[in-house]
Amino acid sequence: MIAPKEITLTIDGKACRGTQGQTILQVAGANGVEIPTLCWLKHLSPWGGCRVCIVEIQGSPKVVPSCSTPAMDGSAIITNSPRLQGLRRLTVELLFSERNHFCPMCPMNKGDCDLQQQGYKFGIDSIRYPYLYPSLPLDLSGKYLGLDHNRCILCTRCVRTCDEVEGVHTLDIGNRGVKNQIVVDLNVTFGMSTTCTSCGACVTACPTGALFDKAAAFHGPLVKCRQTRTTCSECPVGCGLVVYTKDDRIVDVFGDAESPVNRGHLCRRGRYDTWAEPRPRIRQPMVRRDGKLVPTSWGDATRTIRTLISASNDWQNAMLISPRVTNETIRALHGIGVRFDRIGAFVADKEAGICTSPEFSTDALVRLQDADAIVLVGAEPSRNQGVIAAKIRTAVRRRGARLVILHSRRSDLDTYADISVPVVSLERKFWKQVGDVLGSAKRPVLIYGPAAMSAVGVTILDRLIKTLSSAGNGGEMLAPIQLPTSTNSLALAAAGVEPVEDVSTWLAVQPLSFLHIVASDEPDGGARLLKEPHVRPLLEQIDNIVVQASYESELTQLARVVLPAAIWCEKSGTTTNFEGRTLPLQAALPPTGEAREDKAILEMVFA
Amino acid sequence: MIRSHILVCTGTGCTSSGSLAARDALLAELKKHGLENEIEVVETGCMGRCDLGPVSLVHPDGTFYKNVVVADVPKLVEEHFLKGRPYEKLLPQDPKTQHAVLTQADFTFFNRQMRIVRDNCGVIDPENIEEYIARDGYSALGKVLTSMTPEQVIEEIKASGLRGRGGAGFPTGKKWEIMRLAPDFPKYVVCNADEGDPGAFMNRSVLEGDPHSVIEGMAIGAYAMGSNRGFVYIRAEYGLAVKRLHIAIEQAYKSGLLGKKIFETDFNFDVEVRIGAGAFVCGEETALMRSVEGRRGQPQPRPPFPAQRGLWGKPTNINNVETWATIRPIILKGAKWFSSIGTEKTKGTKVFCLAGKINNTGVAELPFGTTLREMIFEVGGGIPNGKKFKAVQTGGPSGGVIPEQHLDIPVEYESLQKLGSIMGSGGMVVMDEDSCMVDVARFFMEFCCDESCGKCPPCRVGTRQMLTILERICNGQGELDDIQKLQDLAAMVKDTSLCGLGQTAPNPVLTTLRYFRDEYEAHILDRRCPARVCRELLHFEIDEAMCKGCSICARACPVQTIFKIDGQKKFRLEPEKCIRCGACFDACRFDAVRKTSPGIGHVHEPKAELAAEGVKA
Repeated sequence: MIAPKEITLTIDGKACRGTQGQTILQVAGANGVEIPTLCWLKHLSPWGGCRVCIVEIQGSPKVVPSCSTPAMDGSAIITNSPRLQGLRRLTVELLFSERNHFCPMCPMNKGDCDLQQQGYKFGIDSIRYPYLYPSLPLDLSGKYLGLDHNRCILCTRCVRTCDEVEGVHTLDIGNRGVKNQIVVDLNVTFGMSTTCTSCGACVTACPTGALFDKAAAFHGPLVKCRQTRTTCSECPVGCGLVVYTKDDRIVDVFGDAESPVNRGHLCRRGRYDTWAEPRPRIRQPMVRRDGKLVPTSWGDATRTIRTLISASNDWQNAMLISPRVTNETIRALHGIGVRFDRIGAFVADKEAGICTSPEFSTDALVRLQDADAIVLVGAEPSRNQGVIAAKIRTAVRRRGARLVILHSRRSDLDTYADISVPVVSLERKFWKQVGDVLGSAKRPVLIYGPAAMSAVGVTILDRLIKTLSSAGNGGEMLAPIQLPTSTNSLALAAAGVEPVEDVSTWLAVQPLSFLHIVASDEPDGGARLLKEPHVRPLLEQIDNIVVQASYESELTQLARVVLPAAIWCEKSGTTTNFEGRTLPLQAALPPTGEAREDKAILEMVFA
Repeated sequence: MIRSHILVCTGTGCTSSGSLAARDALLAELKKHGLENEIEVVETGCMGRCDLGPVSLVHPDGTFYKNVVVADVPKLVEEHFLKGRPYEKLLPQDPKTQHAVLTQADFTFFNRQMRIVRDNCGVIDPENIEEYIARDGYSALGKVLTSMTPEQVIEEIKASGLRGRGGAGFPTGKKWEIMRLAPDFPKYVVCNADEGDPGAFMNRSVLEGDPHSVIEGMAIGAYAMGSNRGFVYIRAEYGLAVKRLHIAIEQAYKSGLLGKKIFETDFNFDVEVRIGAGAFVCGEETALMRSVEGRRGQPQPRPPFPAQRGLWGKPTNINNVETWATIRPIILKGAKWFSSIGTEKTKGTKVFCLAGKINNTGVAELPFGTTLREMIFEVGGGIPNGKKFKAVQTGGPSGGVIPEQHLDIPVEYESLQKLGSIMGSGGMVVMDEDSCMVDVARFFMEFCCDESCGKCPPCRVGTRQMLTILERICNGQGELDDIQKLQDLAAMVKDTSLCGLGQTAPNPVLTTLRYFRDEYEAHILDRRCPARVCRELLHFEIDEAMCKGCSICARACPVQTIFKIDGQKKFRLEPEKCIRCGACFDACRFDAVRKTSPGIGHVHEPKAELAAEGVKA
């Protein structure tokens, strides 16, 4: 590749360097010259609509938007003349006159409303033009996000984010001129939308209070909140989070723009599911007395468990552990392993196959970012790993990447696919099609998930790897990307903990007298165990069950002792994502009630 | 043996005034007299005088008939074709000479014109490719493909000095050269037929009257620029033009003049018609391209220019209908001939649309450099009913008004710009003394506000705010600093808007303020409308001396505020309930209803009181 040509120009008299193809705004930013912007966002395509970033080029009578105008070698740019100041001021003044921008009544709590800041910057203390203020609707039908058209300045940051980052293009502009409005799908409400994934990226992008998180509305500005950078524990992608807290309570959760994994983007699970709806927490240790669980102290609970475990007879002691636990908790298992005859990790459906040969796919996200062909086998990113799904959608829609899906269940990604068929034995016709679609791929990526690990699936995977390796890759063997479902299942497997998929068989191997279930912060409190066939009667036969969980569930009804575990935002430590990156967890809140982190509980009880 | 042709205009104007029925009547009448083998009826495109429609032209003598309606057909056939003399009733009158004229050549409206683009319009049947070919149609394409290199074609166009007819006046040859040098492939050529200015129908008349000239021009351009695919983007409202375009394309394909291996060379060219969905802004080239791609039509910042990244990210050349139609004559007659017409900076001819308060309404093709005075008073035949000329709006809603004192400037891109207006697509809306210039500004601003795509705030909110201010001035609620506010806003919208729509939308406001500031001041300070147009500032009363007591005004009044004066055969208007609709004024046949704006004519309230009120507000 030829290095881009270097250019020099002056901005406000200051000599600046840049490369050919950069916009004036980019060169100015890189050289420390600040130009005000409104519709521009770094990771989105330039829109050139708001006219706030206008600059003058010496020798030309026109003003141009710096966000979309390429910087020219040898040119002289003026960013701050009185003329520009006046034009910008009037533009912002017009925006204030257009709709309801009375700050005191705004749900905006990002703390830095861009419009408000521009108002301060240009010294707008009164509006000279008539207030237009059409009465526009407020859409609160979405589960997590609200849209108030009255606050909207039509900068289309949300529209472009929805299109270019999440890749669903739910939002666009409807109507014309001063009647313009953001529309959801074909002008329905958020609640009716069939395409919205509730990723919340539009809210993050919105410069005003037009799009807002319902759970965060009217909770005060985010700038006044404590910020904690941590890692999402909902899936193995390991997205960076910024958790905003105030008075020991979460106000909002945004993606961490600095995270190399997600670069600020999140899916519904990480953005909202974990906090925006209250779930009943277990707040203190409980021991069953006279058939009833009664609150007790940690000391009493610990003593009770120790009694139960030493009193057990020839029958076995076992532990079932959730794949959501931290690396530190996994390491702690080494120390306490002697207490147990068996330790198993209750991984997700069909995931054991992946865990028996755990592989971390280094650079998976970078390769995905650049892929020109994507093959997805037995994985369901749009349900389980939303950020991966977004990357796939944008690869297809923005870069024209080819997409082949062999699915176990249909999902919205199928609509973007060149081929999408169920994973069953496949005929010659299919392979011909695959050859046609993927034949010219230079940078193919193969992602496989748990459902690919059937006998047929493995054969198909082998053949796909061969097909793709011969197609691109310069004759090198293509490294497929393993995409598990559970957060830390690969680390658990790598540590040698047995992955348990069929819990009833595992329970029935030997009769158990003591079972410690570490459900950690499983959203359902670990109750998914009970949904599997035959598990409930088997558990009912075990006399001594200890449930260590964050949320109340049916599982606690079977327990002799219940221990309160900390949830994701109360944990510190590390987790390992599917690429093998070790990512930090940072507690944003102190544990609720007497809850403690899994590792601390295990060490205290079993040391 | 055909001894005579009668050409019946089937452009949109004449079709709606009944030319198709007249055609059928003609055919039947000729048959009745056994003349069907001697006189041939030919349907043609627009002849340019829609206000006289349905119009017809008889060859070889060249007699030009107006208002050829069904009822007059028998007499026309009898007089002209049987008795061999012109049927005088249907001969038009030249407003200039006040005499009936016989042929187009006698008519100032026609004989001042120079027809290059509209050479075939109103002469050939636009639905028959053979008539086009008979008038050297596609010979320019043949010449280019067989004897010229693409570079030579571009040199020829450059040498001709042709400038884009869409409004901006960019040199066409230069535009083609940039496109030819663009390294990417495929390349697209586009014909912009999204003519949206109110009162402009020059592109429509060309497409309806001579669609092949546009297709041929596009094919020549495609060859010169290295493209194989063209699009005609035309607004859905132009039903007849769309239909004739489809017919023309189909015929061209059948004749091997489109498609693969044209003229047995290696040149392939396909043309597709894309229908617009009725947005004015889609005439802007970047918005047009998005619309062709099937996306929301709204402008994109340039650069990248269409020649770099246009349709589907590929180099694209967009020219106006008239530009494409000018290519063929340049190739056939040479750049030297073409560049001898027009002014030093602007060569050739331009099709103008004369509309508004003017005697000869219609389409006229004139060389650049013709003065506005010639256009309006010679070609246009002056102002009807002896009224006084006030101003002319050039360039559609985004142009500006030009008053009497500047009528002697030669029309070209630069001269109009200097006066604060633009060439635009060539619309000329003439206003007489009865036009209120604040109301004119309000009208055009309303159009621009409605048609703004809303992408950038200066245009979206700025036009709306200017409209709000203009509306309140027209309603007599103007405030003292409104002129300053308008000026600030207009300058800002002009400087800051993203595309041409916003950048030119303030022109009507700026030019009316420049030339007719006194009218604004009269509205704001005196609360009166000098031209007696703004309804809220009007006052109606009945002049008893003139009233004949016919009661037609009382019956026309929608709010029953006109009463018979007891014991007299006179009527009186009670002003309290009057809504100033003007129905009585229009109904009265004896000029007994007086329409005034206080301050002129009959003063009811003392003027000083009004002025004081104005100052207070």
